Amino acid sequence: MKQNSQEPEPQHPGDQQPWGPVAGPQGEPVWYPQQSPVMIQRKVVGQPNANAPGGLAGNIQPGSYGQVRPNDMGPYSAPPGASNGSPVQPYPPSAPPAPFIQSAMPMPPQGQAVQPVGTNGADWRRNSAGAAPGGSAFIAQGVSPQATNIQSGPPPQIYNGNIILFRSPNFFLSTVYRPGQRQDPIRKPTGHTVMTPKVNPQQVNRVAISETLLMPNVTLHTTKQTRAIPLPAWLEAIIVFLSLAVTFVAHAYNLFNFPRYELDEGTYMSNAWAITQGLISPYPYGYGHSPLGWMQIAAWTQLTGGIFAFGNALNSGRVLMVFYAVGCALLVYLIMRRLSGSLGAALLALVLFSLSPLSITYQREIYLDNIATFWLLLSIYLLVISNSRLLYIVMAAIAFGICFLSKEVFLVVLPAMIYAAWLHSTKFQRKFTIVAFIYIVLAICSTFVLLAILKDELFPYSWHLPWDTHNHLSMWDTFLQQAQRGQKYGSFINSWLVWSHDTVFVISSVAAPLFNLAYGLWNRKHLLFSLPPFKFLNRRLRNATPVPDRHLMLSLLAICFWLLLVRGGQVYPFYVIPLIALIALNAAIALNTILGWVVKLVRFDVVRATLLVVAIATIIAYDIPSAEILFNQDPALAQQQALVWVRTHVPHNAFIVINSYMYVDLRVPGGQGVGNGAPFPHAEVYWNVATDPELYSQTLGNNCDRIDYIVIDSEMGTDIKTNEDHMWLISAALTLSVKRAEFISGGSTDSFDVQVWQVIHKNPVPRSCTAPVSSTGTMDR
Amino acid sequence: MSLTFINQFFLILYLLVIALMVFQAIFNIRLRLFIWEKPEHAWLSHAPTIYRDPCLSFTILLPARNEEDVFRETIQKVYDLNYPIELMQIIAICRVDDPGTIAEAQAKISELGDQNVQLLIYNDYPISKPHGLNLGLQVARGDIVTIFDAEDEPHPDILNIVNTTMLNEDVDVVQSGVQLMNHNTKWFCFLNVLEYFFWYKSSMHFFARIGITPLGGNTVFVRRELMEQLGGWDEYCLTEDADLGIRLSLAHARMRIIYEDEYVTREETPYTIAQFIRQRTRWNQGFIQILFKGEWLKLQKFSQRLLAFYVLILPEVQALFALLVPVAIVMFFLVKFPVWLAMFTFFPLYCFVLGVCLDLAGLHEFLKVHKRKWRWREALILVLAFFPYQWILSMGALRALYRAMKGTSNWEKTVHIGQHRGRITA
Repeated sequence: MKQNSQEPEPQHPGDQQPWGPVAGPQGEPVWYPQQSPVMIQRKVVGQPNANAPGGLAGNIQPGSYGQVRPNDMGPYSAPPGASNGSPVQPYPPSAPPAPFIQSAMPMPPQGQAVQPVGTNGADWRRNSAGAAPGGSAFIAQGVSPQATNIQSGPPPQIYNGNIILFRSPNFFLSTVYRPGQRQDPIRKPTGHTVMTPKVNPQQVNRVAISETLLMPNVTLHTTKQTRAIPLPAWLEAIIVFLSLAVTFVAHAYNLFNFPRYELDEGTYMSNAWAITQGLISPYPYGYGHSPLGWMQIAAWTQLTGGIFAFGNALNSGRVLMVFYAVGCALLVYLIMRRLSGSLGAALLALVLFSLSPLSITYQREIYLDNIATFWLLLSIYLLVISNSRLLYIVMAAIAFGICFLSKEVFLVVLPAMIYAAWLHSTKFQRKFTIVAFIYIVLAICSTFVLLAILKDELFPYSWHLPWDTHNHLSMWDTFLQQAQRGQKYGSFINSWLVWSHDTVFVISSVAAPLFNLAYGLWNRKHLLFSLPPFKFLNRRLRNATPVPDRHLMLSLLAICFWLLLVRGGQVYPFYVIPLIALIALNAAIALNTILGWVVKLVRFDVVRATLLVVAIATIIAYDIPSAEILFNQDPALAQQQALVWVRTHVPHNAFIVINSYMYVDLRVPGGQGVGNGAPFPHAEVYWNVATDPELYSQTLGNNCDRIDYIVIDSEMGTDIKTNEDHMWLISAALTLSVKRAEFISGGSTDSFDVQVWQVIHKNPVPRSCTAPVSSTGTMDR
Repeated sequence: MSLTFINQFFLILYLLVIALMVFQAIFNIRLRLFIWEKPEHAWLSHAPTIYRDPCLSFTILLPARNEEDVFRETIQKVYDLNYPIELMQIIAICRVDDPGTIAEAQAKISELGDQNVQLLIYNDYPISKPHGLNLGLQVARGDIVTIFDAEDEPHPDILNIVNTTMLNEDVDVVQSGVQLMNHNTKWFCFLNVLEYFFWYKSSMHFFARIGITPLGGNTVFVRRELMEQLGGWDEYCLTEDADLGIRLSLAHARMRIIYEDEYVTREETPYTIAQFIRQRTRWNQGFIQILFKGEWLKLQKFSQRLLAFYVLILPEVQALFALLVPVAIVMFFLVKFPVWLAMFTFFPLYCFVLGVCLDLAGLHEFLKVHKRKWRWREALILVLAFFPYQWILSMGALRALYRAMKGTSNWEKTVHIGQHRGRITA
């Protein structure tokens, strides 16, 4: 018997080793395990390599067959626990070096059929070799492997068509036994590798027959155009700064005296003051407007050190409006800069917006429209620069929500804003950004309704809901009232006449959106053609690629506002404020586009810029004369003089009927009407006197004689005359009174004066006055 | 007065909890929408379209227990993967006391007649999936190790994709998407499906950005040497995949996440609520185990530790919030807050409704990419199922807490019936 041979002979297929018991050298029965006939022989000299026991079939050595060590528990120690990370132990180093030995024993020829181990041999052998795959009980521990030469590896066990590749005390690995197959299923590098193709050779076929994989569509229709005329950034910054300075001066010059103080301004300032005192408004709050607008004013007064930091209360608010106006001007510039890429167009937009006589008049006054316009432009700006980033679109939604909460009317622009958000997001992101945008806007809008619900003032008391215990104003009533308002107090025609003072504005306010609408629809005709009436048109037209275009968006924004103005309801002249901004944008982009066509003839882009500069100069030249007229008027002076007169001449406990702009200054210590003296606790705004039952029936007892003084200006006088059903108490008081002082503002185009009337109490017996039907609610516009 | 002091204390506590709810809701929404945050993110989960020549070899571990119904198909599907069989080693892993599954596996192996398909039977404790996987790792010979569960339907090209990705990009770990496919068999399936959809499509990229990625339980491809260096899976952990993810993140392994709707591995939801709760209990208990094991504390950056902590305690936090909803309703009627404070307490409700809206958008997206029909009835069911789903999630979390405290940590297996394969309609 050859022992310790150093060179194993290659095994031939078909050679069989005897696997019956053969007498070993010591005479003990030797159990030869079945060998698998096809083996890859390794030239193993000395110890087998440590990888061997990791072993699959490739490492199974043919049965070896030298000394039998039946008590040898075999080379497989229990594998270490998983947390130990070391691989399975290799064969114990004490294994004798001879890898395997070809036995010289007679090899009875065996047929190809291999019989499962279980059919031969001792029972203990069979049991230890593993159960038939029917899953009968199998001894868990202490399975002794085939008692073979350790270093030669275990001969593979075959049972029932399966071969055991690897065995350890707690598990074994088996697979099917197929004599013809290679035992080394995973190809290992042999050093004879050929250069395999880098790319799978059948790609073409595979790609051809597989379904088209759509890439995510992330094309963004950005309109950020490169400047045709290079301009250094610092120069542009200087130009912008100068323009904003001009805007600031244009708005701030003579700020406190022109225009005259209006009813709304006083209302909002007194509401802002009430916020600082912890109320929503000094009079019962009727949900006409959401309080966020005057909350911003209140925050401003806190920041600047009190509501009287600039003189009287309204001055403080007007300074804030100047800052909002400058902010709006900057946003208009930036939006146009981004949309058209042209400095000239952006400047044109800024000039149109800031220097129009309408702007100079209305953007100084404390209207919620000014505040809301700022937030609306901020929202548009955030959308325009978003580059389809979700954060910017969310911020734009929040800004638009704040715009709504400043003045609810701006909700009318929501469809155009949704279109703008749709335009500025890629198809890949569109679904989620639009959902987020719409939801955030609606959620912020709903907080206004939530406020009403939390105060139990959503539905009217007259519905007698179970939790309604007292009479209160309701949001529902106010909403209905506002929706049904006719043109009595402000008609479209009157406002149009006021706006016509700026002819450039009115012409461009109609022409520019129409042009942009037509041009925008032409650029985005695929949009139009997706609508049913046009679906049957030429397919080639319908499949036209969309051009990055913003004309349609701007025109839709302006058109939404126009719809609000022409709806047939109440329209005041100052409703035009947001429209000034939108028309400026529309006109600038329209002119830029038209000049761009002209330039195509000339082929010289500087011409376009020059023409834009010419347009700017024209606008400025047109606006300056009107501005001069406006700057030289001082209508508010009369109102201030009246205030000072009241302070010095009226007893402090008198009941004074005033216009709203005097409210804070008379009521709050430190105001212009109070100075260092005592405030006037009974100064009430005339509209509230007329419509609030708490005032006219409780305080005044429906008795006009209880009124002591009336401070009346021309606007108030007009109101009193046109509203006989509400103002009867005040008009009755007026008939009993005598004029004490009169202040006329000089240099105004229409006469404006403030008169102070004192009611003469003839005798202590109060006279009764007739009491007509009353209504509730405060008046605000 | 001490009474007002206690009142104030509870008030501040309540407001703090509300603020925490808001923060968690907004962060959750951000996680879900991460892939749609910027246009560039569209390419994060992109899979290669041109495959390289198969070069790397795979060892595919198929652990199974009591899977007589589905195991044959699973082995067949894995065998049929579009990849040279000589580069694949498929190991089915069963325990000896599970004769039914063993019989199925053996029958399929004999039928296939390929020696690359192997059966591993073990007999010791613990009886858990990771123990079986570790034993499989000992006899694994492929370059890359991966796991498929018994109910999985991998895409035929998945191995080609992973091969190409590993060669092109030189990463250590590739996680491919897993998607539940039976979106409308039961009421809770909608939200379960969408949970997976948003998780693999979007949230995982956020985690990968931060550097701490809890991996999925299957369709994870890890280089074998790396697995061996890490010591395999944790045998006593109920969520060995999350634990592996944390250890891989600790080892600074380079991870790549692929989610193409076409190439996802398809799975099914648990087919009853009881099964669902058991599955979630197991996951939550696993997370609690990982939390207390403390490996995540060794992460390098604070943001990573914070995110790991957030993910590990999220189920319990969500349970707490879901239980707070009735409390909040009661407090709304009984306690009179000042108006602005009361409005603040509505903030979480707004965030939840936003979550529902985004779920609807996600459902539309899911149906679109898998070419299924949108039904308004199903959308309505999704909306109505939102809060009940949070409640059954909380039940799972509470049950996990209870079991963790009691010390029971046996592996409650989820039964698979092949719903998504269309054989059995539940």
